[in-house]
Amino acid sequence: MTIDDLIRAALDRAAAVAPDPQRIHANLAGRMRRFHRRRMLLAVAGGMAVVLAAAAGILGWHLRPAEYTLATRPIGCHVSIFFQPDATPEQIQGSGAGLARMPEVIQFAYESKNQAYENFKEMFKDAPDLVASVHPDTLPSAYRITVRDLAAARIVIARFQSSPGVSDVVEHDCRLRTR
Amino acid sequence: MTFDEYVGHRLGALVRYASVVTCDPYLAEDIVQEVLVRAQSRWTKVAKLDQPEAYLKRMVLNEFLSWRRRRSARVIPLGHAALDASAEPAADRTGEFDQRDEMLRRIAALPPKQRAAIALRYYDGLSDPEIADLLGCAPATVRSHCARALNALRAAMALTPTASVPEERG
Repeated sequence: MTIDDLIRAALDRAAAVAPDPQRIHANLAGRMRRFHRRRMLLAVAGGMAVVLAAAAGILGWHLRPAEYTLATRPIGCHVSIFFQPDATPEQIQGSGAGLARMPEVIQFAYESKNQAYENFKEMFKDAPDLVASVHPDTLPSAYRITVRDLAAARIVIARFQSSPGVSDVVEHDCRLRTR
Repeated sequence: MTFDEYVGHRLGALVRYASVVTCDPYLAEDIVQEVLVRAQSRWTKVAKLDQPEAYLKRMVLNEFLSWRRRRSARVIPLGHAALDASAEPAADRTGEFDQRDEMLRRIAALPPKQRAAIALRYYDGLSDPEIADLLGCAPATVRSHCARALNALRAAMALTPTASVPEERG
């Protein structure tokens, strides 16, 4: 008897001791019920997972500004949006509304021409010649914005640099004080 | 052919096939049931195929080789108890049958892919390219599986006392 014959004989033997098909057939119904139940369970679990993920996402969305402020309060990275002298109040308010919707913006404040001049005078009070050379009307009105880091600053810049009424958007302090 | 018709006619063959591939009656039963349940849930598609039988055999093979089954496939099945439990009359348990059962145990101890390759070649009589297609590998890999399996089986038989007198009964 060669090894090939022996292998064939052994495999025939395995076929001969195969389980009873009748019993398998009889057990099939229960197995199918379990299968469909499992599938249904999986579908339900999958649906629940989706709902939970969505809920977590919404919750995260609502918690996000608070986390932002907490994590970044000590860091000063600023963006200024300067308006053209002939920018309309609507254009300025529109930009303000846009800022309020941006997740990158931690806080922002409007600075009118007059306030800008007052701040300028305060900042350069040691140089009266410089102050004297600037007319109160030359300084543009602006939004002074606090953001988390340079990346956020760049998003704000990209968003507003070609908005109507805007003359210039610049970032400052970011490279000095953030990571 | 409806699902019930198929099961009525061909279940026996499928169970035997699964038993040969797995070398384990319990695993074979489990796999056949799993495969039938899944085939039934999309039977309209399966019945449209040229050879539903070949498709089901493939499902059996894939189920056996799948990662979910690897754990159970590692357990060496078909011990003396399982063989004795079958309806073989005691008078037939001669040296040749001992040798054959010993061989079956050796085959059962092979790694799953080698076991499947041996079963497909010697029980189903498939060619190497056909086996390669079923196992999803190159024909050269099939040859290597079979060569390794045969080496292991030969080595095992040489060590077995009953194999030292194989010509005893022709």
